[in-house]
Amino acid sequence: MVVLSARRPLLVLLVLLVAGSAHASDDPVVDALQAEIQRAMEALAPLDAAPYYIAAELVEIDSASVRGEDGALHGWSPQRRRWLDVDVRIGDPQLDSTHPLRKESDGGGRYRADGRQIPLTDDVDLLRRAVWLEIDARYQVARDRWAKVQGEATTLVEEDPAPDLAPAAPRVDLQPPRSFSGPTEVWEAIAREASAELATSPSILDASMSFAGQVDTHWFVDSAGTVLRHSESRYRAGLRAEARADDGDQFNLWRGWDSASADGLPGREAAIAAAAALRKEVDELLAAPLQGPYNGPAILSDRAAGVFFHEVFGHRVEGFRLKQVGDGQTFKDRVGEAILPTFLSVYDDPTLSYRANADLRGHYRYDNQGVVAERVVLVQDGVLQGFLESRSPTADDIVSNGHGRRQAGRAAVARQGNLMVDAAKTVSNDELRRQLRELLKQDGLEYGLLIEEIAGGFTLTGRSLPNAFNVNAVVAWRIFADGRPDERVRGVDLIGTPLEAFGSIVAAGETNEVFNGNCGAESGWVPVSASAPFLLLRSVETQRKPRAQDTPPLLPPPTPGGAS
Amino acid sequence: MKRLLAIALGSALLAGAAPAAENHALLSLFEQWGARAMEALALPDAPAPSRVTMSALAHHEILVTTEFGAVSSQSDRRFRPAKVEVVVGDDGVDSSRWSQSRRFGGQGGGHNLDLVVEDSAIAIERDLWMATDASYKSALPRLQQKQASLVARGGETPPPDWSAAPPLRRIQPGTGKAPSLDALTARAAAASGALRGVPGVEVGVASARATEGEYVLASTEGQALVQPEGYAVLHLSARTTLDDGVVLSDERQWVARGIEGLPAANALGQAARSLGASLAARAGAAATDYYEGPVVFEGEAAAQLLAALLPPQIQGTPPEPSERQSWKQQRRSGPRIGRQVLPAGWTVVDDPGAARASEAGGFAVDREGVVATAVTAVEDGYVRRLLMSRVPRKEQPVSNGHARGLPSGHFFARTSVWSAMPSRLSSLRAFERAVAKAQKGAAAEQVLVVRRLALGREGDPGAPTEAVWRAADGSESAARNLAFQGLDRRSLRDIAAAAGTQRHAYLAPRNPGGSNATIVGLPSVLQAPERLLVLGLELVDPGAGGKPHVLGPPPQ
Repeated sequence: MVVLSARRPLLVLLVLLVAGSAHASDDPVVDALQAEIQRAMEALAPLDAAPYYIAAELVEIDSASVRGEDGALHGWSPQRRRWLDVDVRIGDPQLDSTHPLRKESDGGGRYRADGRQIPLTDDVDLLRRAVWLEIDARYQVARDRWAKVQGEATTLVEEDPAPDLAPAAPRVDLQPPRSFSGPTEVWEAIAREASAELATSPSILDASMSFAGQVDTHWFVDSAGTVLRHSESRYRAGLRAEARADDGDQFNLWRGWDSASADGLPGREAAIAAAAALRKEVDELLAAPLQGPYNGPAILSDRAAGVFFHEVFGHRVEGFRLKQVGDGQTFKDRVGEAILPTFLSVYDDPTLSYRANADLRGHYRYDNQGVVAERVVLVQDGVLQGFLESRSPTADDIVSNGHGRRQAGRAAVARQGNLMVDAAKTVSNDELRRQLRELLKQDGLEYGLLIEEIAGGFTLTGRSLPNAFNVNAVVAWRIFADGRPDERVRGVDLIGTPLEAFGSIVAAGETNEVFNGNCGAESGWVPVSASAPFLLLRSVETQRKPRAQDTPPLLPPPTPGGAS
Repeated sequence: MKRLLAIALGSALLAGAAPAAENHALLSLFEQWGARAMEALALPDAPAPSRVTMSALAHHEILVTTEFGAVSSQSDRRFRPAKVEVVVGDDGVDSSRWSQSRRFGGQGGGHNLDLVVEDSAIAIERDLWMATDASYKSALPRLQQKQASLVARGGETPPPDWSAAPPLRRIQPGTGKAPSLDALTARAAAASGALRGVPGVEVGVASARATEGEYVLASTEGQALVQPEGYAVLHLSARTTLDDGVVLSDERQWVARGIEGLPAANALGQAARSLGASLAARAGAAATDYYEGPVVFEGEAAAQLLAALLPPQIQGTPPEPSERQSWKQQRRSGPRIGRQVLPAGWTVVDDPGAARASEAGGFAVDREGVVATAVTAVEDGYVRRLLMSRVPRKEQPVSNGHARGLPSGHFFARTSVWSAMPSRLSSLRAFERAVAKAQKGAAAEQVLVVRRLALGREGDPGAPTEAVWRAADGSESAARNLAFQGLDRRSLRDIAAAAGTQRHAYLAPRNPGGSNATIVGLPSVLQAPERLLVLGLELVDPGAGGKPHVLGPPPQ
C-alpha cells in the first residue's frame, strides 16, 4: 500500500513545534473553543467512557444572493450565521465510537453531527456556554454509540485493520478572516436586464439570472493542539432558462460563472450576451429531435468529461466507502493495477485555485478535520495509486490526505475537491472526431454522439443495486459518419457501469474545461470542481431521460407593453 | 369581466410610492389575467373555468433571533407569496377541494408561487401566465376524479363546495413602510439578555418577527380587495436540564399590530427575569406523581385554555371531500350546532372588526373577499352558529366573513378577535370562596394554580409551564413538571367560576388543529376571564424528557 501523505516521524516533530503555542489568542472564538475542549477533556477523563479526542469546528457563513426573473427582482437576502459542529470520540484511535456499525441501528447517526447555531458575538462566556452544550450532547451520543461498537467488535467477524482516527500533525494557523463583499446594486441591475433579455424569447417559460456570494470562515480547534482560522470565498452567477417542447419534454439550460471573488463574475455586457446566446440555444434545442436509446462510440467534451470522471470514478475512490461492508468497493483491492488507459492520470488537488481559465470551486486550504489539503495522485499512467482519505483512512498505515469534508451539521468523510484528469498523449479535437467516424464506419453506424454539457447525475456504489451511473446530458449532438453537419439532440441520459466505461476510453483530446458545482453525498453538499480532456469512448449507452407529460401552455406568452 | 381587459399595463417598473386606489398594479394584473383565463383557457371536450381567484400577500418581513442577548440570525426581506386558482365545475361539485393525493399539486389545486417583488408588469404577467395554465390543467383531472369518487360512494352527498358572495371592491393599500429591524432586535436582545445569569437557565432565546404589507385578492366573481395587514411577535423561551434528566422549559409570546405595540425593552427584560425566576423555582421543587382535583387557571393560562379548546367547536369550514374517508367519517369530529361546550350563561362572539388599534388579527374583509361580520357562536354555553368561510355547510350555507390563512395554504373559517365570557363574573372574593369549596370537596391539601401553558396544539392545550401549589393558608410553592391527562373540550363544561377580564393577544396555528405558532401564525385576540376554576382535572408527571448533563456548565 502506498502511503500518500504526511508520515508519522514528521508528525512527532510538528507536535513539538506547536506544543508551546496553546495560549489565549486574540480571537474570542478560538479562546472559547479551546477553553471548553480542555475543560471537557479534563472533567470527563475520570469516567470509564472518557473521550480521547474532541474537535470543534465553527463556521461563520456570510452570504448574499440576488435573483432576477423576467426582468424584475425576486428578493435580496443577505445572511450571516454561525454553526458549530463537535466531534467527541470515545475509545482509542484504532477503534472508537465513530466506527461504522454493521448490525446495530445507527439511526443515520454516523453521518450526522447535528450541531447548533451559535450567536454572532465575541463574548467568550456566551460562546463557551454554547460550546459546552454541544460537547455535552455529542458526548452522550458518543457514549451510547461506543457501547454498540464494542458489542459488535465482540460478536461480529473481524474487519480489515484500519484506524478510526489516523494521526494528523497538529497545526496552528490563524489567517485573517474575510467577509462578504459584492456590488449588490450592480448585480441587481444586471439580474433584471439579463433575465429580461432571456424572457424575450416566446419559447422560454421561466427565465432568471442570479448572483450569489458566500464567505465561510472556519475555526477549527481540537484536543491535540490544532488551532486554525481560515476563510473560503465563493461567488457564483448563473442564467437559467426553462422551456417545454411540444412533445412534453421540459428542460432547463444553465450558464454559470464561478469565481473566488466578486470581480470574477460577469458584467452587464457579458451577462446580456450570454443571455442572448442561451436564448438561441433554447430555440435550437426545442427544434432538435429526441434521442432514443443508443449504443456506440461517443465523445465527451467540454464540462461533460469532468463530470463523467467525478461521478463514475471520483466517488469510487472516496476512502470511507471502502470501509463500508455494504459498498461495492470497486477499486478496494486494485491499488497497483491498471484501471484506466496508460495515457491517463488522475489526481485530486484542493490546493489548486485556478485551471483552464477558471477559478476552482473545490479549492480549500484545510479540510473539515483540520488537516492540510494535499494533492493526491489517484491514478498514474493508468495505474491506481490510492484513495482520497479523511482521518478515518482505508488502511492501517495510511493517514489523512486532507479530504475529510462535510456540510455544516454532518460528519466529515473523504470527499473529492478538485478532481483533475491529465492525458499524456492527446490528439486534436478534429482528430478525435476523425477517430470517432472511423469507429462508426467499423460498426456500421450512421452517427455517434458528442456529449457537451451535463446537468448532473448520480452514481450507485452499493452492493444491493447495480453498481451503475446515470449522467444527465443537456447538450448533445449527433456526429454523422458521412460527414454531414452535426445535429443537436434532446433527452439523452448516459448510463453504464464504471469498469466497462473506463475500459472503453480510447483517446483524449487537447482541451480541458472545468466543471464547477456542488456535490451531495453522505456528508452533505460540498463545492467541487472537475476537469478532464475531451474523451473518445469506444462505446457508451444512453437511455431516454424521464419526460414531463405536460402540453405547452394553452395561451401565448404575455408580451411587453400589455398587448397580450 | 370584459371591463378588465381595458386595463393596459406597460412593462415598465411601476414601483414607487403607494399606488392610488384604482391603479393598484398587482390587483390590476390579477384582474386582467383572471379575465383572460376565464375567456381563453380551454381544452377540447373539457369544461371551461368557472371561476379564477388570485391572491397574494405582498409584505416586508424582518426576523431576528437572539440568544442571551446576542444576535444569532437576522433577515430583512420583501416577498410576495401568491396563489392562483382556476376552478372548473359548479358550486355544488367543483375542482377546488379534493383530498386524493399530492398528485394534483396539493392545496386544493391552487398553484402557489412567489411573485417578483417589483411591480414589473411583464414579469408578473409571465408568472400568472404559467400559473393559470398549470392550475387549469390540474383542475380538470381533479374534478373528474372527484365526481367519479362521489358516484362510487353511492349517493353520499357532501355539502356544496362553494357559496356565492356579493361583489366587493375595496382598495386600501398598505403603508409601504418597512418595519425596523433595529427596533425589533433591541427588544429581542433585551428579552433574551435578561435570562443571562439566571441560575440554571442553559438556553435563553428570543425570536421575533414583524411584517408589514397588504393582502391583494381578485376573483372573477367580482371580489377585488387590497387591505393592509401586518403584525409583530416576540417569542421568548428558556430551558434547563435537571440532574434527573427532566428538561424544564417555559415560553412567552407577545403579539401586536406593530413593533411599537410590543412591550418596551425594559418591560421585556423584566418579564424575562420573572420567567427565569419561575423556571429556577420549578427546578428546585419536589416532583408530584399525580394530581386530581380543582385547577385554577390564572392570567394568560386562563385565556390559553379557552384559545386551545374552543376554536375547533365554532370554526365551521367542513373538511375536504376525500377519496379515503366517507363524508360521515370525516365530519364526525367536527363542530356541531347544539353541542354544549361551556357552562350555562357563557357567550362566545367573534368580531374581526373589533380589534383595537394596537392589536393584530382584525380585518374588515376576509381572505375570500367577504365582509367580516360579528358572529355570536355560543349562547348560554351551547353552540348556536359557526364561523364560516365560503365553503358552506348544510346548516349554514353562506360565509359570514371569517376565512383566514396564509396565501400559500387553504383558507378556513378561524377565530380572530373574539371573546369567551360568562354572563356574570365572580368577584375575587367569591372566586376564592369557590376555590376553597372545590378544594374541600376534593379533599385536596393544596390546589394547583396554573399561570402559563406551553404552546400546544389547537384542541390540545400545552402542559403547564408556570404553576404553583397553593395551600389553604394562601402560601404557594412551585409545581415542577406536570402534564394534563384527558383534558379536552368537555372539561370546559366543568368551569365552576370565573373572575376578572383580560385581553390576550396570541398567534393561532396556521391551520386548524395545528401546533401553536411561535412566530409565524394567525394573530388573534381573545377577551376572556382572568381566572377560571375548573373542577376534576387530572395531571401526571410525564417523566424525564432528556438526559442529565455529564459535563457541568462553564464558569461565568
